Amino acid sequence: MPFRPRVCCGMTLSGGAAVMVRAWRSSGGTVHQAILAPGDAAAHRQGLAESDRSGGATAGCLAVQESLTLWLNSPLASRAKAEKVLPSLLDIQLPFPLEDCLYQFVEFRRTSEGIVSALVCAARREAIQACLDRYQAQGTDPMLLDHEGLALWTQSLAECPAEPRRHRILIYLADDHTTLVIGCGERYGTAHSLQMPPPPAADDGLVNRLQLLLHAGLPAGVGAQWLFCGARAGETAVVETLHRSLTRDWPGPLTRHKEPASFLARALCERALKRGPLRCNLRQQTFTHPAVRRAVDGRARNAAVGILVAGLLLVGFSLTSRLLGEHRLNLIKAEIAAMAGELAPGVTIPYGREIPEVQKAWEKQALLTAPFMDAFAPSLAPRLAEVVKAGRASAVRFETLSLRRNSLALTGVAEDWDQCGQLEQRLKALGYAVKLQRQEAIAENEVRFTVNAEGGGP
Amino acid sequence: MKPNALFILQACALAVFLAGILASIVTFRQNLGLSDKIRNKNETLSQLAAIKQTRDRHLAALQAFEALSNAVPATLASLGRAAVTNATPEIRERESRNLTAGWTLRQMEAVFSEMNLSQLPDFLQAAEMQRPPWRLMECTLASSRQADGLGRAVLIMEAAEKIGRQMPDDGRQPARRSLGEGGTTEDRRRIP
Repeated sequence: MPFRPRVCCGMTLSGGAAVMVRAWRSSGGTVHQAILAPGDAAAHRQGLAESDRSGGATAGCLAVQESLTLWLNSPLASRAKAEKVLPSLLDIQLPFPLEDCLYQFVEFRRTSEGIVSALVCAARREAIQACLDRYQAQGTDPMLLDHEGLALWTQSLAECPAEPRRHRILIYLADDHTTLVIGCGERYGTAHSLQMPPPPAADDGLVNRLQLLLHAGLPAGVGAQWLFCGARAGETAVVETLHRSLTRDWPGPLTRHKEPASFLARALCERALKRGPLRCNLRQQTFTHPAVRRAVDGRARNAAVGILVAGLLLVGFSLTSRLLGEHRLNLIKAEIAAMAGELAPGVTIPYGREIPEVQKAWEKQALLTAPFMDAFAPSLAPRLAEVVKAGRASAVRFETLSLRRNSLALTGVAEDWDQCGQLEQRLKALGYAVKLQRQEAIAENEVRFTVNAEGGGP
Repeated sequence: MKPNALFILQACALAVFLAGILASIVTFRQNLGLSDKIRNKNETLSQLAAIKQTRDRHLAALQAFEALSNAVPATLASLGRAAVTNATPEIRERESRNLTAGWTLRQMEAVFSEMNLSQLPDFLQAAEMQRPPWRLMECTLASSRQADGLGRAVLIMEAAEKIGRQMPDDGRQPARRSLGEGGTTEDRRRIP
């Protein structure tokens, strides 16, 4: 389905009588159901009209008699590759041409041998058309055409969970036919239909036919879980007689589903409203319901419009991004031109030469204004005081002192060789790179020294 | 929707989407180049802003000088007489160059032949406290062999001045007064 409806009408036809269930899904995902009176055409029409108004779906089913389900084992381990060969394998299995039927692979499993096994549901086009005609005769045109056996199986599992690895036999007792679905655990096996209604009391004919079918699929003596549903499952005597007869070979407990008459219709609603395994719709290709086709078209149209809008947004964002980038670049260029014009008035500045031209102009201008700036720089006078203080602290006597901004030259005398070293350390502490030369006085006791120092300027 | 219309819509959507992808790729590439340009221009702008900041600091300093009530610094001779006892400096002009806005930078050499060196800091402080201020650029001291604490000092000092600005109210005109008192080379320079 191209959409998930919130409301659904499930309808089954059995012996010319319609059973309808109206169901709706709440926002929490819970499905609520209302069973309409069987055979009440007015109530059915009203239910269908309400479902149409709320955009709901209508679901019907194709009887097991008119279709088949089959497990196909592909020789391949890859599912993608298996999907390509499975139709050919199905064609071999079918008694009629594949082109005459519609099919859907509803489940894929990997076997213990590692190959892909697929469950296919198929029906002839004529059977589908006949089924649709029957529904239309009842005044409805189902959007979904499910498979009776699959619907019975999944609903049975939903209402009565399977026992692991135990065989499970579901018998659907309708007014005009009996359907047998066999599986193991949760795994669907096969479905059979007998065009004979259950008799009012024990009838060996139906039991024998059922035993024949069961012997073909189940070895005698294995335990099984027996489940009954359908309009006639409400008759206790019929169900118990069948169960008693069949459990001789396949012993197991009996379970009767609640509301057995509407069981299949409820199954159709549940499957239409909720996601889950073994979902199937045989209204395909030319049989597709117009509403479904419209929904498919709508989805394609919405996807195309989405892509169109995405493309337009991409183009728009690209152009906008480009324009914004260029606008920003132009703003910066204008700012540069304005600042360069302010810093180098009267100078024609070629594009891209702003820095060299402005620097050239500024160097000329800076010569005229730098002395004003220098007036606020630290003076040499405190540095002179620091040098004199360093000399006093080292107990040396300066003879000459020459101080410039980044250099210092001293000559003097000290009473001790080490006092010159103290002076050197103190000058280094002021930030000078000091070259000290000392010489012993021959005639005197004092040490003469010369200091040449660089750096350390304030 | 008719199949043809849906097909046309899908084809148009695909074409526009591809155009959008193409435009995005082209724009992305162009924007890479553009971002490089913007980065370079921002660097240029930063350098210009740094120059402008330096210039603004210089102009602010000039403004501080312009705001002074006195545009001519006190003479070094008068400062020397006031701060140093028993020593009259010999003043010589070393260099003079024009600055901006009518200001002139003068570099003077003050030579104290025999001075009490302990008074030198007072002289320098007095000179640097003037408005406009004198700045010590170079200093050469030589101690005297005759007496402790005495020596010769050669000071290179510079100051900015603006001739033609009104003098302060205290009527201090060191140039003419110094000339009257026997004067120095600095004083002579100030004779119109």
